[in-house]
Amino acid sequence: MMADLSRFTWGKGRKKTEPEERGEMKETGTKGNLNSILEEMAEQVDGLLCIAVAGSDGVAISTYVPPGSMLNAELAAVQLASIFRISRTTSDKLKAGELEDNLLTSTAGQILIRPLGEESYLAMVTTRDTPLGIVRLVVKSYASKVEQALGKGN
Amino acid sequence: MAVEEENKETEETKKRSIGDVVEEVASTTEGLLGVGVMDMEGVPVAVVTPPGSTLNAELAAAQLAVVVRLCSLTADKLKLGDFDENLITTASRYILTKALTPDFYLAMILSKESTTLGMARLVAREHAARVYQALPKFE
Repeated sequence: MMADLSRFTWGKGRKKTEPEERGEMKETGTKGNLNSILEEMAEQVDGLLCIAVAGSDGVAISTYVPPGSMLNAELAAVQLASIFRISRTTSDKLKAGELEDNLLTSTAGQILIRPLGEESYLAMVTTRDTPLGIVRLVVKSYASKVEQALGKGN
Repeated sequence: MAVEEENKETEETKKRSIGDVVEEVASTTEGLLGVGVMDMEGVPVAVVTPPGSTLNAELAAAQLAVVVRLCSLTADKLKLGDFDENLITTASRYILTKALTPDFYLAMILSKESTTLGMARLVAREHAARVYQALPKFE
């Protein structure tokens, strides 16, 4: 399902640049599709530091780091995979049912991790002042598109 | 730590033990299945599970200590400041952990049927301040 978030003013002023404009080669296939979904997500959120799609083993499938962010996406993918796994283990051990998401808040940032099936996850890292509602909405709205791009969707 | 800076001890809370405060949190929070203050080794300082709750408090304390340590390490490695709180949302529960000091954390497990995400975060923030005030402090 296509997520229509155009009614939100948040992040509206950000101009989307085509890969060619940034001097990059346009990627094709699943990875190119995934990259363009992450770019679309990035347009909706101000204060974004990173978006990552990765396996539970910490191997990044696709990442997006906006200009100006100093976040190391590969390191983030590895660390967030550990949190993803421990959240799942915790919900299993405490018999709390299926994991829906994990929200980590620190003094300077917030990280939302959402499972994409059993073996991978979608995560968004933002600054602390980004409204949590926007982060949750964007991640929730695009999760199924990302899953489809990974070939997991219905 | 944010909680540390936000709150000043009052005469009223000074007199109350950590156990009393946690008991009060348990009796006044809707949808609560368990609340506790633990150290970073997963050893409970004060834990309350309301009557009827089937939560294994010792298992929760040990498991959530691992979660808190990992979250703290992640915030540090990604240069996102100090760890503040972590919220695991599952099909039926909110599992919330919040740093009180570098050595202790507050954990709350709530039923999703009886509360909302916003309320869970608000309640945790409010209670964290009270629990922090009641924590024994050694100079």
